[in-house]
Amino acid sequence: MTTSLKKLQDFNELIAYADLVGLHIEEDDQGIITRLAAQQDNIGNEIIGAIHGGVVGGLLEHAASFHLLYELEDLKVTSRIINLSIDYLRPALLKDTFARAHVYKQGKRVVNVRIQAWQDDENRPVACGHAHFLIA
Amino acid sequence: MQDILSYIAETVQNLPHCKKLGLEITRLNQGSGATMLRPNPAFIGNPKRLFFHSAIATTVLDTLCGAVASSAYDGGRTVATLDLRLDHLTTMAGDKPLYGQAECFHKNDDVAYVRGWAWQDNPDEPVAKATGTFMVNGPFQLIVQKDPS
Repeated sequence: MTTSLKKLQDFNELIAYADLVGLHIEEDDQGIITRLAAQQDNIGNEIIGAIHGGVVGGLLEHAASFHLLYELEDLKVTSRIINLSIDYLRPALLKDTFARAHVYKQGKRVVNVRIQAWQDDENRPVACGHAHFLIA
Repeated sequence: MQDILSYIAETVQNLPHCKKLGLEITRLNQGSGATMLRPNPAFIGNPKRLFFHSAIATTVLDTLCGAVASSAYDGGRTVATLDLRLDHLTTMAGDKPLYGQAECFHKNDDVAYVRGWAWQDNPDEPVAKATGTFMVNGPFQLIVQKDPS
């Protein structure tokens, strides 16, 4: 059983930061993904017109959190981020950016998550990361 | 060097996303610096308990560590973030300013290594810590060259 997409989207709507930068929860044939909408005011490098690295980091964190809500069966389980390591692989240009998370180990207290973000081609990621979450 | 430091600070503060958040660089020396971000309801990531989204700390520390990496070199350099590791130590109150501080602890011709931390009530009680590595490029120049015609 996984949490329904609609429930996650309703919860996401309550998050002011998601609205500020344009984070949306969507679903494809492989599960849920988080989309960061192309917004001029997310730019952090004006020369190449690239999205701010902090916002890309936020996308990875948000995608991981929502993936955990999705996988951890019911919304009563809360998770809190412990840490995150981000590799910036390519400039994230002013287009929609997507992120998909994958749980590679779930323990009693800690979940290890990998996240990948891409724009046009999922096989050419713009950033990837791994994070630890505390669950209770 | 003071001119270039002011120029870096000014340029970074005026990046579209930094402007939108209202992120201020309160100090920039060669290889160290500080920031301040006033609270804003738009930064909330936990609607029930009104904490900032962790991405706010990530964005503040990414910005500051990058500016500090740029400032660490004579004349300033542009840098590209290679990686950034964030330790989210505790939750952040949604109604208090978030302060940041960072220092470049090692550099060579190619890479700058920077650590930073963020706090709200007391600099000795950080809410987040970051370590970033930055690839170093040419002279600091973020203004897009206008076509001379």
